[in-house]
Amino acid sequence: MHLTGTFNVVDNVQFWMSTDFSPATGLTVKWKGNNAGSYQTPTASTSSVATSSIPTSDPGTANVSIGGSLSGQLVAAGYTDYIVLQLQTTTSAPAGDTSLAVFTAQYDES
Amino acid sequence: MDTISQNIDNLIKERAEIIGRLLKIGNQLNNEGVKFGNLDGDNPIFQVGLNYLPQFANTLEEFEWEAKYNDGTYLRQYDLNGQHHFGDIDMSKLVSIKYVSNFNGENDNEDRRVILTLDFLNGNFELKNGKIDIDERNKLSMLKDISSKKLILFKRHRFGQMMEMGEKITPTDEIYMYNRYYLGYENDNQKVIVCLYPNGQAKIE
Repeated sequence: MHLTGTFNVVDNVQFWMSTDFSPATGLTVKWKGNNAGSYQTPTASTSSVATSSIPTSDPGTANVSIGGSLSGQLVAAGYTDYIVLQLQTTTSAPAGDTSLAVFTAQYDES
Repeated sequence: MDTISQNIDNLIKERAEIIGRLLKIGNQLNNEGVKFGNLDGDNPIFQVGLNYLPQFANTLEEFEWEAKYNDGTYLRQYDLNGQHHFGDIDMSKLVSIKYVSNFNGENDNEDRRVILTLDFLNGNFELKNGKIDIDERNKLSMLKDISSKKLILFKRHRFGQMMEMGEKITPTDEIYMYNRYYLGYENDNQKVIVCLYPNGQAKIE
């Protein structure tokens, strides 16, 4: 996530999926936000990085790292660590139609 | 009535129910201060009520802070020199700091903006035109400790975007934003933080 503009400190970065898919049948999102390493090329295979279920509500504490740490801070415009997401489907996912979901990010800025 | 006609009636009824529900939920979110909008390229544009001041369109801030110094001067978060942040505040000269809303509150006062002021010398808070439970207001008046303290001033910024999940993930231009503004202080004895919500409500954290 790219943070721009003027600030003293940005920290406590959180990420979640606010809504489930609509329709949601056969669809799940796996993710990794803490120390996810380098950029991951999209793949049709099961990711070895995005392996956890994504939170579906405000996690309450930081879950996206900065500089490899959940307590990391940005003191000037810059990037958090990568957020890696993978949409996984089963055969029960309906063909054709697309689904909608809302992804949310939150951080503290002083 | 034939089957097709019946089906159309059912769908019209279902559509009306969904629109009604959508309006109701939209009003509830609006009352909480959640802003919905669209991306125009990279620029977010939010729909706000008529009670919002023009400044909001420039800064997308429901509240902006203003620091008062002991020499009578002020440092404002946004001024002719651009944007300032917490690190720009000269704590050695700080007398008081306040959040001033970029919208008018629900009152008939001449100045209808919501203003939360912290007197940094004596630790007193004052809320003007905002909404606060009577118990919280009473607690606020009792929370003061004049010993040396550190200022707490930050914004919790939340934003979201709707994604369309098909063969690939495609961002739509529908976005939302929800900000909370925190003001307070801490010392060895206590930590006092007041949260200002974007609907003008204040709560002690």
